[in-house]
Amino acid sequence: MSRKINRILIANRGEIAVRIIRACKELDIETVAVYSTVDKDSLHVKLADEAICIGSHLVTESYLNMQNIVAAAEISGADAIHPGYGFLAENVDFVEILNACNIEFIGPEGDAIRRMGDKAEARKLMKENNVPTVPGSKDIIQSIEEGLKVAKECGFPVMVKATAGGGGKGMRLVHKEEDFAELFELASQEALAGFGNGDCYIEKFVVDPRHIEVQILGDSFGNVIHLGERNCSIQRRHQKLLEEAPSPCISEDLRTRICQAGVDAAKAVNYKNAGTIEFLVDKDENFYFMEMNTRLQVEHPVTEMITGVDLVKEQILIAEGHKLSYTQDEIKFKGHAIEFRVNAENPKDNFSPCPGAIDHLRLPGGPGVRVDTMISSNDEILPFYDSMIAKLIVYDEDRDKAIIRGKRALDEFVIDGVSSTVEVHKQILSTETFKSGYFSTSYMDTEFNLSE
Amino acid sequence: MELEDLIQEFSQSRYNDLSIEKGDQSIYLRRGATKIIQNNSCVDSPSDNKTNEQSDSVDLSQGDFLKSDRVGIFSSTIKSGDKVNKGDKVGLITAINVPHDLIADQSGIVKSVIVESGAGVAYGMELIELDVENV
Repeated sequence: MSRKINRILIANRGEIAVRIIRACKELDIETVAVYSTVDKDSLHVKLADEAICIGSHLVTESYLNMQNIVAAAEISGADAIHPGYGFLAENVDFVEILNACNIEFIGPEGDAIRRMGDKAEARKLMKENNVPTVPGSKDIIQSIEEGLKVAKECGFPVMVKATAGGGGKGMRLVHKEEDFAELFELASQEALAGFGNGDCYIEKFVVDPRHIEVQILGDSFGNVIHLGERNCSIQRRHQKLLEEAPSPCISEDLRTRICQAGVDAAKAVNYKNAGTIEFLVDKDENFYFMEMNTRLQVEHPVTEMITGVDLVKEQILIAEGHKLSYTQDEIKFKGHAIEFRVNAENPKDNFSPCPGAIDHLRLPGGPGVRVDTMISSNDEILPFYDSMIAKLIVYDEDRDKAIIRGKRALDEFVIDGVSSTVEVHKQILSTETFKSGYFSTSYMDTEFNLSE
Repeated sequence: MELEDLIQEFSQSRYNDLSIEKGDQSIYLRRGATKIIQNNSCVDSPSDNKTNEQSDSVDLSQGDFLKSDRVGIFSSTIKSGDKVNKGDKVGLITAINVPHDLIADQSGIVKSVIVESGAGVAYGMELIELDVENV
């Protein structure tokens, strides 16, 4: 039972709002932008067919203000809402309100969001569906003997974690069996002293993991396909900085298994729409489920570049009730894509945000170069929102050529007025470790040194 | 009962109006109320190069206008020539079938009600013009 969507309200701002508006225009669907008072001159407001001010600069009063957003859909006659990423994208209450108001949410069912958002339930569900999870359990360890038994089952090294712990307190990494008793006691005592609760559990510690994630699409008929994997191991402060597809340095066997695990994970929650399953992968190619992101992701363009699939259009078609436009066999992978997140941040000051006015902007172009952004010269980067201001995506027939193209495009990229991560990306591309294709999530902290 | 459940129940019921009062809270639901959009639409047309000054202001109490503090369907409870005091109810803004009182944040004589009842309004939009000098 498909239902044509005529008008989509985009409950977001910045580059992703622009990205969604572009997909809508190509599908001949009208667009409604919503904006905060300080965003009135933003690109998404200019490109949309209609724009409605929904509140002040505070996100809680505008982009997180469900009542004003739903009311904006009602007064503008929007029959669907695309949430983008962040803000209300994974908010079950929002999905339920839209259901009650008969407005289509372009994303998964509320139930899938809720189950995958609950870490314990997601983990249990994955185990039941044979998707590998990090060995260990959240069960409280009652004695050292029991703890040692669990630790041996997980395989060393293991992490002893206090249930009440936080900020690194009540946590001990144990490399060897003979150290277990002492470090377990220490973690427990520390948690008891610091939080009044000494209960601890044990989890396998994945050494130098790579972050590899699988893009999936599911429809209302139970069809689920994967669109391959992305490697997002280049992170700073646990946030992704550079992503690529396909992942370098993984065997075809791992690729097959991890992508199938992604499909299995999605099927476990009857997943509908676009989603991503994140895994940790160790040096021996063991992989473990981390979490599922029940939404479109920032790094979706690298998958689009190597598959030729427009993920946002597919999201809309799925929400209209159509079957997936592709079978698994029809998804063909070609070439290599890298995305560079350009953030208004000062890399010399631990990537602290640095909003301000852009005096001059020159965006790169040419073959195999895509820039998703909302900024232009003389724009003001506002301090109220995320510091990401552009995504540069490069594509070429293989990884080496994509790196060369990336360097060329980054050299063309000029932002005057605010600090950005452009220089950081240039330096990453020139390191031997990056070129080798094998690097873990600790790369930025342990191997990367910003030069002048 | 949660608000969403209530709305769902109501939308599936055969009633056209529903009013509930409990303590100092009240809810009023009316079928189809939010679908009324009139010519003086709530939306700023981005293709129109004139910036809509009505939605520019961050300070809702600025100037001699009473402005919308939310998004919804507006209906006025006052008319030109009326005297309003700060704190008076001057209209309703209905969002997701729930009406919210629009309260005057300054006193004055109503010069004009700018937005017609039944029109959709955005946050910060000027709704009522006041003469604050001759109070």
